[in-house]
Amino acid sequence: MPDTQDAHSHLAQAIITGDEAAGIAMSRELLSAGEPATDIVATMAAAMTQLGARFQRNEVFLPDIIVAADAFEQVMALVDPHLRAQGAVSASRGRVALGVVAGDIHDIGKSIVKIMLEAAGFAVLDLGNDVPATRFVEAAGDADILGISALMSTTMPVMEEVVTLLEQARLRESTKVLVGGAPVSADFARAIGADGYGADAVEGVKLARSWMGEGAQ
Amino acid sequence: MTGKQRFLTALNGGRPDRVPIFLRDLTLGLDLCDLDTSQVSGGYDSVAAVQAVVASQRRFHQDAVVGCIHDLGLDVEAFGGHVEFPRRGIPFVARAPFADADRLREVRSVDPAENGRWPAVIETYRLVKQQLGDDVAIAANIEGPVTRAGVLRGLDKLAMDLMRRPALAAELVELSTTIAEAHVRSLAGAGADLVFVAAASDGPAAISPTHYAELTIPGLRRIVAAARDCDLPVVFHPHGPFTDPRFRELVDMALDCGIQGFQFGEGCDLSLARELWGDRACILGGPDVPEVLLPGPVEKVRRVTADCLDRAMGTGGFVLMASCSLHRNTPSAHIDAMVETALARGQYTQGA
Repeated sequence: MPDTQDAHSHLAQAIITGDEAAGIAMSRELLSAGEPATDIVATMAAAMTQLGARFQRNEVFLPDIIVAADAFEQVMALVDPHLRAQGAVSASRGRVALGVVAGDIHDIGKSIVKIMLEAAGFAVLDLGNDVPATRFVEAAGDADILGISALMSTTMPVMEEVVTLLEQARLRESTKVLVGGAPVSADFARAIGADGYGADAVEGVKLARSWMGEGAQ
Repeated sequence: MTGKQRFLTALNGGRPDRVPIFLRDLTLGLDLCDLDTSQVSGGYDSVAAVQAVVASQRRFHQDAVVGCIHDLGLDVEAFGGHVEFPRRGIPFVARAPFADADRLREVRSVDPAENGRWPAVIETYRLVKQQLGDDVAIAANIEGPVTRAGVLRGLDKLAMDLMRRPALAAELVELSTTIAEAHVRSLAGAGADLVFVAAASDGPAAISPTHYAELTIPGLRRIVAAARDCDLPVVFHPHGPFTDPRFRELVDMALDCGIQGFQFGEGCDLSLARELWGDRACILGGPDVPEVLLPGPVEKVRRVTADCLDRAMGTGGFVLMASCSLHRNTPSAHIDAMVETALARGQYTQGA
């Protein structure tokens, strides 16, 4: 087995290249060697952040992100019981309820944001797609941040409906609203009263981290 | 000069009397006629679809139109998928037909005349041609090779296939290209004047340059050949930062396929596009949909449209579009502002 530092490096490379088999094998070796699960997740998170930055620079493309996210999820399934044993899960950076608005089932962007948030240490409640405004508001009771995605201009009004319903439910002040998706813009986010707009997953995670009192990395 | 002459003159690189306007509005006309999406697109009501297309052409002075109310799901049901039709929204694919790849083995026919809503769509093109065809260019809106494959398989699954099951991805793109060729022939028969290859997932906004070269370009070459057999020019519209030096060769590859026009979307510099490729192809493009046309306000739409015209109209060979297709719930006042600006500022001076 490579030394621990090399193993972390190989794990990061496995995530970046979307090699789930190598990622799982390397994680098993690290766990067997007594490496904390939190360190394994940190390595994977750094790899996803690095890949996200390269995606922003048009150096890698959607298929690269999709396979990396898949590898991340598969390794996380292996590591998750160890995290729980360490008691690390409850020490998350914050709780995010994430979904694609009603009338919209394009969930690639949402799925990538979910992976990036988990990689950054957030506990994510995935509401799925085609989510009605009322469901977002229900979830707000257990979340610090609502992440709302829309991939079609015709479904964007649901975002404003969520903000309105949050105000009516007196949950607006305790819940940050983060919006994103291809047709969404910073101007639109301001107009509907959202707290922030993520042009992509990396920007969204940066905002979420800043809201939780951490500097964006 | 008719709108059709104006558009085709610009598409051939020439100078018409003013910059042609082509909004490629796929569902916007439904708003103008107060029609439900489910009513028109669900069972496909050709008469209502024609009404919507004509209303949009007249309201916005368009020189070219897509000859039907179009949605990405037109091929989906025929192959066993499911499309939802929100009453006032845009149809969307709720279940991709080849989400289970094994279902590819069950494909029997790609003939549009036998497939789902397509017979009614073809009839719509015929009726639009009858009503507008003397004055307005009719565009056959056809999805690009990878774009259609993403619709039929689900884009997330196709993206995974590209990396882990490349043979399957290639098979899906092959099928998608064959479907596109069939659509070219059927819509040419219905009176289309050009083929518009709508290819949101065919550029570096989605796939890598390698996948573009290996999958999109061979497919585009076949679509162009099918269009040429029908004497139709082709406009290509993939998404990505094509004026970025790293991706410019992707435009050259598309031009080498024999397309007449290239529509540049978000993140592209129209003046640079004109400088780089204006002598080889018609440049199409205009205001950004998510950043300008949807949020407005009207003053910003006017300012950005004027800037696009100043940068790209030159002495011809330019068509004003939005950065991508337009759909219902786009504020009509914003589109009016774009069109009014084009009509006022897009005039070519005689002898210029």
